Amino acid sequence: MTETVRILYVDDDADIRSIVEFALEDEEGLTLELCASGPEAVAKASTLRPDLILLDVMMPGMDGPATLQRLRDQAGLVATPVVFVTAKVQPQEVAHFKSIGAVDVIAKPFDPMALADQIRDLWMHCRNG
Amino acid sequence: MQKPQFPADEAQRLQALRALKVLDTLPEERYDRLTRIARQMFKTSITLVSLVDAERQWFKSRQGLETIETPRDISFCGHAILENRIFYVSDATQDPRFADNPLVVGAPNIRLYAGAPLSTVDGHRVGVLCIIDNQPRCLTAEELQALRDLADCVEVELQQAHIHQAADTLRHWENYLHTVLNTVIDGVVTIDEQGIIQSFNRAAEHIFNYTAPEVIGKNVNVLMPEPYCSEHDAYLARYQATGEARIIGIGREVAGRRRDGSIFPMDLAVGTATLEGVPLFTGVVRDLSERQRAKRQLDETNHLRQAILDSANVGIISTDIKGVIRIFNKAAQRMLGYTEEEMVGKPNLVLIHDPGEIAAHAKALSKELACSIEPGFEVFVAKPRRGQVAENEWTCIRKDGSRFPVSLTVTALRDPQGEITGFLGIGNDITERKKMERMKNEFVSTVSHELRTPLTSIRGALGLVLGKASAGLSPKAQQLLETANRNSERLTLLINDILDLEKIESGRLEFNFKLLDLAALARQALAANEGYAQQHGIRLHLNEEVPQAMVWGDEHRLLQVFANLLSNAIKYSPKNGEVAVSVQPASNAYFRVGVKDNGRGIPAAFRHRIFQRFAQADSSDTREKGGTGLDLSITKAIVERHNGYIDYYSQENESTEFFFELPVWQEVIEADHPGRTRSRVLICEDNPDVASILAALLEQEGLSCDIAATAAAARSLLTKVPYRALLLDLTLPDGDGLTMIRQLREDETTHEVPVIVISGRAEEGRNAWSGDALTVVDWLRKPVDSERLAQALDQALRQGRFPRILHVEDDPDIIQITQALIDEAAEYAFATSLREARPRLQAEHFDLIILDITLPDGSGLSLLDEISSDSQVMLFSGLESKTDELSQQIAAVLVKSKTSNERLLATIKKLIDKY
Repeated sequence: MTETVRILYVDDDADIRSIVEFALEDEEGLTLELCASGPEAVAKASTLRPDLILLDVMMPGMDGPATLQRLRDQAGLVATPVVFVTAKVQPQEVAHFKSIGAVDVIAKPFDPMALADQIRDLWMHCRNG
Repeated sequence: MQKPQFPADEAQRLQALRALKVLDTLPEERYDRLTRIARQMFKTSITLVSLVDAERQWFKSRQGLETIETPRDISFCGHAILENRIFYVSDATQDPRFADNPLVVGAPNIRLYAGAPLSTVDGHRVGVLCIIDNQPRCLTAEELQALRDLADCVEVELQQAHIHQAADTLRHWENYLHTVLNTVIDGVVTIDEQGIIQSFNRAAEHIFNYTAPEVIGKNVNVLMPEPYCSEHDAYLARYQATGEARIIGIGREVAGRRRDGSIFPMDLAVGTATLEGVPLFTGVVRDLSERQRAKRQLDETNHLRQAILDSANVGIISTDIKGVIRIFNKAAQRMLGYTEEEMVGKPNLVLIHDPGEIAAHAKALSKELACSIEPGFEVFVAKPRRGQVAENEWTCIRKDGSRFPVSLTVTALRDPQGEITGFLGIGNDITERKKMERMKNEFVSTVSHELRTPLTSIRGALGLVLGKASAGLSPKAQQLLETANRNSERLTLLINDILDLEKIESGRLEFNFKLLDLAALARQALAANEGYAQQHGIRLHLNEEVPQAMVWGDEHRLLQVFANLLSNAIKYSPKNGEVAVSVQPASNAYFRVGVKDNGRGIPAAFRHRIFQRFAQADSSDTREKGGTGLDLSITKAIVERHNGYIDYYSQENESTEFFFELPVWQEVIEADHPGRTRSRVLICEDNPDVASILAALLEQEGLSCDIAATAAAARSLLTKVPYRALLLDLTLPDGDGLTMIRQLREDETTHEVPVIVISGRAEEGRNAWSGDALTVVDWLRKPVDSERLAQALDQALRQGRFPRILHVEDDPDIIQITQALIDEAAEYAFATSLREARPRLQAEHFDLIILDITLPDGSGLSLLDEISSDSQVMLFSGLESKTDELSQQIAAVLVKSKTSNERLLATIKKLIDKY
């Protein structure tokens, strides 16, 4: 039986949201919820109970790291793996994101055709260890 | 016969006679006419002017006698010079003194002799005027007087010689004086008591532009402008009456007047003398026009220099060779807050510099110049002293303690012989420039990020259309979309490269330096690029000439260098070509890595800009070969950050070899990277074999070590070098290890050194050790178990290094809570303002800096530039900051209201745990 991974993707850019939506639709084993801001994600996450959260870093108001902090404060989301999707991929930046609790970073611009596999790999990695 | 006696003054007499210079001269009329007169007057057969020499009498003039001289012994004249009065014999045959004299017995048969002595001016009787006859005869008193009168006339003629001589001397001195006067560069003018010019030398002629004849006899006031001109006569008269002098005997600067009326400054000294009762004034004149003109020029130059110094916007400081400040211009005063008085004349350069920075420069310079440069003034001038340019960035400290960055250029000042007389430093405050650089970097970074957001959509959309929805597309549309997709990928690479290059060049890109083997890296790079080479039908070949090439480098960045050079070589190789990579020593100090292709070579016209950004030999390359045109710029920047350099050889249509050289790793080089310094451990062990095994084990652990064979040597080293641990044998030639541990614990400088005992008596020692168990990290038996030693070292190194935290925070409650939380986990210090924090950050090392953003005197973020790169930074503030805008140095961001104490402590511990 194939497990379904619930993914929450948070990005303020509508175009990128729809690219992600398009890239992941019909992908077996993945379901996608989209949020357009940090506060929206914080509000919805406890109900959605996603398995994996993908967070944009640069968002107006509450940015990715701040959203991560707020999500962590919620019951049930303390251990949910969070991945930043960002253009900031210098080794030090990646190290910083990991130090504040991200499991990994997906570099923008990403290859939409490879995104689903990338997410599956990440998920396998998180689940196993 | 009686010989004549010698007079009492014989010696002086002879000297006076010879001084007359008349002996043995030709007959002279002035004498002959007097002897002729005498012969005529006295009707005698013979008259003579006879000069009595030492052995003879010689006749200057003679009448009636052929002989020119006769012996003094038989002479009458020898007798005549003995007295002043006339010597008179009326009949020699009747005189017992002369009766048997040959001149009486034989020719000329003298009977009458009368001789009047001839005296010189100083009274020596040198000769006689005598009359002689062969008949006896008596002379009357009148006749004797007449003889005396004629003798006086002869004396006058003799004295002429003196007068000539005096005149000669006088002429000589006159010439001498004249020559001297006309050679001196000073004008010499003499005047009499009326002020009438008596003499006027050549220099005076030159100075006043008069000839001597023109002014001699005129009043000296023609040489003076008003008011001196009118006042002079009265002045001279008053001086003679009262002795009141303004110039005479004093000398001063006055004005002179030339013939054309022009007035000039001159130095005048007047001396006075009395010549034969008449006063004479001698004026010595020196024209000061030249000197004053030179002085005026010097003044002007000085004023100009001062004006330049004052108005310059750069700080200008000059020192003598020892570092004593001579010039400290206005800009330097403004920049540094010190006055000229506080700095000039003092060796105060150290006041305005950071001793730590000076010490670091001293170390680097010592290495560069291969000689020991003491931390101090020499650090600034070592290079200029060697004729090299010294241009460096320094941190300067103002009088108020605040700091700012300065770009300083130092030059040596040299005299015309090339000897160094001092040094000149020109400093620019580069605070603004640094700020601009930072703003530019931030701008580039922001723009690059902003560009990537729409690019994500474009690339995503194109990728999805091509990947998922291309079914209904016409081949033309498909081709166009592929073009768009390919270019969106290119644009992505380009933005990444721009960002990379910007960061590398601005030094903001952190390099993760460690000890690397270039040869191994080359193998790794070849393997990684094998696939790409195969795609192009190229074989890669590695020539390893050294098994190992250890360098200090960033693995990731050096692989990027290899990848760039390899992909270029592959792209430009002909089909089925070969790319050869070589690793070899270039010299004692460098390893050389070459990447050689046999491609078409680099066109000559392109070579000069090969490392420039966006440089490609022709624009079609971009499409044909791919790449962004930034690869070589990035490669060069990376190599240079490794203190290496890159270059190439190229032969058109044959081959190109790019090569780079990196410094061979040496232990000392590490010292330049504080925080990455290899920890130093002291081995105290008297057996050299054991010591060298321990040293090898330490080396394996990445530690460096010193060896002391005795307890005394170890103690001495421990007080001088901050060792991170001591490996101690218990049995030492000069003492017991346990005693030594106790002594170390009592000494303030060594009481914290972690000790690992390594001894055959380890167990015994541990049991005997009554001290605190914690003071010895571990007791190891010989032979040493390397695993256990590594663990002990690990523990020792951690023990010796207590993490230090600086908390910059103005809220006392937060300080108190944080301090309580950290408790013993680290050494905690705090600063409540930027002003308090800055000096501490400069002077001390902290492993972690916790920053509040809102501080009484500004934003905590402004400290980021002053925090050394090996410190971690954590933001802990009431503001929710956007991490994107923040430095990558920030390792964690916590918001006060949202952070539990547990989380705060956990984050701090996580950050300091790395130490």
